Amino acid sequence: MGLTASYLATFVVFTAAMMFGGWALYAAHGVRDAVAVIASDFVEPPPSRLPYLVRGLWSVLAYTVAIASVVVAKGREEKERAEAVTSAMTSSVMRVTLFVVVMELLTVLVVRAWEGGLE
Amino acid sequence: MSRRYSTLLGLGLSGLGLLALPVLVAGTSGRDDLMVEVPAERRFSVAPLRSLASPAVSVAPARAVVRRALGPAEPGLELTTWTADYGPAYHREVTWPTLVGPFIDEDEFVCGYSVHAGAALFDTAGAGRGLAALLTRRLREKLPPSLDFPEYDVHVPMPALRRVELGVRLGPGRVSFSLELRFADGTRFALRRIPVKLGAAHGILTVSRSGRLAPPIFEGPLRNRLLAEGGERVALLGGLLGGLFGPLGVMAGVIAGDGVGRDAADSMITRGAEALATEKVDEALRELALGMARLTQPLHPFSSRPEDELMVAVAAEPAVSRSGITLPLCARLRVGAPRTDDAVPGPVALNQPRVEAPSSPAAALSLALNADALEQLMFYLWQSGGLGQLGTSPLVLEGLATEVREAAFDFRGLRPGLPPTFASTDHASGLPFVVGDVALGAMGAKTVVAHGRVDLGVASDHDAVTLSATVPDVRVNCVELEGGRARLTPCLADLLPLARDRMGARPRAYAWGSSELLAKLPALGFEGVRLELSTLRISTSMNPARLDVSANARFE
Repeated sequence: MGLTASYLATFVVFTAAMMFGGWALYAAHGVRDAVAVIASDFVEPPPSRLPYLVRGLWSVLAYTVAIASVVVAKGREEKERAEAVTSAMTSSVMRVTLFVVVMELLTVLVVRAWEGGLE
Repeated sequence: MSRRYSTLLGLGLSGLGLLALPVLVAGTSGRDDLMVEVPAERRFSVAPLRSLASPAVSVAPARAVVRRALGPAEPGLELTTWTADYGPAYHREVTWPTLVGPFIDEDEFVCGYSVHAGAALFDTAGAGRGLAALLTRRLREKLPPSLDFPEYDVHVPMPALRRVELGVRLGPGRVSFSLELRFADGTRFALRRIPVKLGAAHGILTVSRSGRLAPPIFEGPLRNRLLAEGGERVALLGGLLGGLFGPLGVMAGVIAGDGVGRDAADSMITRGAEALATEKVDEALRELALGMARLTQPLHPFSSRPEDELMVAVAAEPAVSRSGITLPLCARLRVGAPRTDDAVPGPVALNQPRVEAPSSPAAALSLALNADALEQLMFYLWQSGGLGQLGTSPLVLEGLATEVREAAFDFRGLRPGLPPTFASTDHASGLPFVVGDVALGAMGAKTVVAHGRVDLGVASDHDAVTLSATVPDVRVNCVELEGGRARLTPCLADLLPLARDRMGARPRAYAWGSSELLAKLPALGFEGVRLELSTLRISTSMNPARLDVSANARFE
């Protein structure tokens, strides 16, 4: 649960940081309604953007569960030597990275298939 | 819970989670941000009257806002645009073009042209030298070796014609010619004043004598020999001689008439000579008028399109002043096969007043076109496929915004499905034209089309003619035809603001050399006289809209 909460907190911080950075850039260029523009995909997405919003939110939840599960599973394995801890951490990072890459590609294919982009 | 059940539960939850994505995506996909369906067989409508311009459409979402590009009373291309906004970030729009009449049939004349020939063009010692050369040539061709009248036993060798001087004087409402022939033996024949009136009848330029001729001058050895050879008998030949020599009939008639003077009063001689000269001048002018009528025969301006037909007619009486002759003209342009689309009946009728070509005494030819004439030319260029060829040429493609050329669709150039029409606006950087249904390419089964306004400006500087095009308004959407309905949906919407900013920010300019453009014109001339043009000047202006083309000219 702790890992899940940590990932969600990371997501919130990361998203907020991106929005802040975007706002700073827009403000520097004098773009009006900068916050509303940046938050449009969350606040009032057009119908054509809804699948992408769904994909984003689903991915966050999937990554939350998956990353926590992989890390816990590796962490709970019995380790007879000290090097096994480092090995387990490295293995966790590799598995999580591989999972994210596969899911990114897979979810894009799913969205594009429904959007008609794979014709 | 045992480890086994926990694993199964975990796998089940994971499977449900994985399956949830396609289900959620399927539930949210396939919705258009904006969709307008118009009952139509083509990607546009044509309405002969404004009251028929609004088709019954279905729009989703209902909050979409409609706006039109043209005012309620103007003929031309009407762009009806529906917009839907999702927050400040997402603006969606689709546009339906309707070409609103009234239209001018291709068989009708458009009287929006005006030509001005500067007075210096008729200076036969300068730019009009070719006209005098033509007359000299024709006279030499018709000159007989001798004047023979066997029944009277009169044989007078004709001296060689050495020089012909033709003078043309322009005055308010009149043209006056003078003619002087000088023969090798020193004989001189001159008509000092031939007053001529230019008019128009049934679309043809008419030329007629407008007053009495000045008494002719005939002196020198030829006159003396005629009198010596024929004496009073020559007086009987006046009428016969006139018919023999065409242009020289005038001279011959005068020669004969002068023969009477041997035994008659001077006034009688003068009257006889004048009568004969007048008859022959009228005859020559009738021939000239017939020549003018031939100018109104159908022309085929481009050899690559032999079925295209251009006919020119005179709209009204020419205006003659000291600075030159201004001729209002009408033109009929029939477009032969192949044609772009027969659904468009002809150019839009704006019924604008004619604009006068700028009056200048210089040796220049000027042509002024009003908005109706511009509509006619645009329609011809579109219907004959010229605009489509231009739209796919490297010249235009390289000038397009990179965002358009490299957008994620099958870009094929600019192919206008409708003729551009003139737009009346006070805020244009050139002559404003509304364009509609310009096919850019394909996106799946949909066609990507653009609409908007293009301001065309032309300027001349030294030996260069520069065409500038500004795009102050551009709209893009997709259209799909199915079952008698046109389905409009937004596409490239996120690229459009950037492309719009870039295209509207700075005009695209294309420059050509003046002589390079003139060299592409077909050879102009008649009867061996070439009309040579140089230093092309083109300009545009608004209120009223007009295009002016002029060039220095000379007859060679």
